[in-house]
Amino acid sequence: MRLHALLARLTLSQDAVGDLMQELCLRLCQSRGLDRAKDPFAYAYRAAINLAFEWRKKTRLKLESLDEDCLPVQDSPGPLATMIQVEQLQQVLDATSRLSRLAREVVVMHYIEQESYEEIGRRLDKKPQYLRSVSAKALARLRRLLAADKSRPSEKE
Amino acid sequence: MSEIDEKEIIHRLEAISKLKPKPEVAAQDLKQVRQSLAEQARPEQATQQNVWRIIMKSKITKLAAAAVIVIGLVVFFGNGQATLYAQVVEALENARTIHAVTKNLDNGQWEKNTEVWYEHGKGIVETSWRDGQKTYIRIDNGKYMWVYRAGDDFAKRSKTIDPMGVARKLLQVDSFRKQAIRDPSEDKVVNGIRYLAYVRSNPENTYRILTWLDEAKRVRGWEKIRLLDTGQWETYRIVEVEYNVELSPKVFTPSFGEDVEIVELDTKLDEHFDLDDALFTKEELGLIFAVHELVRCDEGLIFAVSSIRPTDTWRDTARAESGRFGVWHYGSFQFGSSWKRLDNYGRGRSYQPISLAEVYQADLQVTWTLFLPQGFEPQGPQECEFEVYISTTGKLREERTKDGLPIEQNFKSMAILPLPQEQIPLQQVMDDTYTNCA
Repeated sequence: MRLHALLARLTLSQDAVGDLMQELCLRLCQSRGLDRAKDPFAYAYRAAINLAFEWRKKTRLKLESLDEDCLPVQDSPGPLATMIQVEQLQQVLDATSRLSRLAREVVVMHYIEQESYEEIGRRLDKKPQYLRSVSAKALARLRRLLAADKSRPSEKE
Repeated sequence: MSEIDEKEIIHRLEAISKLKPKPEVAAQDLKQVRQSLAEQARPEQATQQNVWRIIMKSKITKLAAAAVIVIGLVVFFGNGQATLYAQVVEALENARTIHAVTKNLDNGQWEKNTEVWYEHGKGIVETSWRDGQKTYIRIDNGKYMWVYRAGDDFAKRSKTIDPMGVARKLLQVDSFRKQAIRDPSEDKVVNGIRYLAYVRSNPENTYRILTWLDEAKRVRGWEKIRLLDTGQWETYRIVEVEYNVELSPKVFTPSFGEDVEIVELDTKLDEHFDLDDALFTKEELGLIFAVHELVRCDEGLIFAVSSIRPTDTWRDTARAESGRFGVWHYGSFQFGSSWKRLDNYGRGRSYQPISLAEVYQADLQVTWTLFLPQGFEPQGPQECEFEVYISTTGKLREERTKDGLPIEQNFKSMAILPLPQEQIPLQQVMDDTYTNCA
């Protein structure tokens, strides 16, 4: 379930998740890396992150692309609140897609998948301390990217 | 409005972490992905479609359980029987001629579906049938391939795509790389020759393929069998194979009727989208991106025809090494908006791309695109800037990954080309695009 849930969170689009899940399977089938990987799940997990952000780069998301089935079950805000919330989430994901591959993976694994730096370190074969600094740098860059985006005129303007 | 701080960013990321799909949706989709995986493991009849396209077109594209996916991959794509596979491939390659016929069960009747003739050094002919009528012919002599569909007044000629690959696919040879298990209970003797049975089934055991090899490890036939709701097994597709029979040389002659014109597809596209005549070319990631046409339309729009193809070096290497059956497709591209800040007040300009059409032939992708300039002075832009996201695929991607080279990249300003002053009506451009694509 984790790969699916991860793709759902990173795309916020249930239709895309289905396609990406298929593509992920096929990529993994064709890749020699999965056989060679020390931890096949970690390999698949990173492949899923990269695939989802590849998709984000290619797709200009619209607000309505968030399916109801991907919304948190516990909250039921009104339509306007949902739209605003979705827009904010899309913005932060779009900005994340512009980070370097490592920074993106660290942000996703730590803040979205709620993994500890020690756990991420094992997956990525990096020291937790190093990952903390990558994460800090990534957050600063995200802040700059989001601020820059905010100053852009909207399409309607 | 206040500046976004890091706390807010973390808050939003954590909000994303709380999103989850409904369990019933996931459960339903898990089932569908399993089916899809089983489908993928099931070798199909020789058609020109590649697996990617079949899967991506499929509606069975929903959610799945990660662990099951990974386990599924190991089960379906392990290569524990490489030795037997190598023997089966070798036996097939040593055959002088092959003649195979597949039949489908249709309303209780066996109907011929595909017929294939192969002769070493001469090539392969594949025909498809429906209701007793030939609907499709493909002839591949190892140099060129001709494709003709019944009813057309033209046949397409293009470069060869691996005649032996067609035979391998039709005879389910790849199943011996996967999980074919020896099943002596299904062995049989035909005309005094002993046929050894191998079986594969899906995880739910609702679908089986029985394949028979002779002592020389040649595929002698296969049957696809499914479990009916009544609990009974039904054979619904079979293939019968003959080896080293005499084939008429006429079989390999690309003759489709007096009124049928042969269209040189590769030549046409190559001529039409010749790199020497392109307005712009640039080599990136083992691929060549080119802009062939740039038009200023009315309504302030810009129209461009662009393409991507592998470099000659990569194309030749890959073709020589490739044993794959299907279209060679090594990469694709998409346009970005080339957004650029104009001042410190947040104003910018961009070219919003609108994709009109795409054509793939062999390893060439051609795209027709409209660009909508935004944020420019009323007289419009005098040039067009192309932001291009290039992504390698397939074998090229594999090789570049292995070599530690980039496999995808966004080129923020790939090209800046001057726009012609003359305006062409959009309607005319659209009409031409339709004609060219057709």
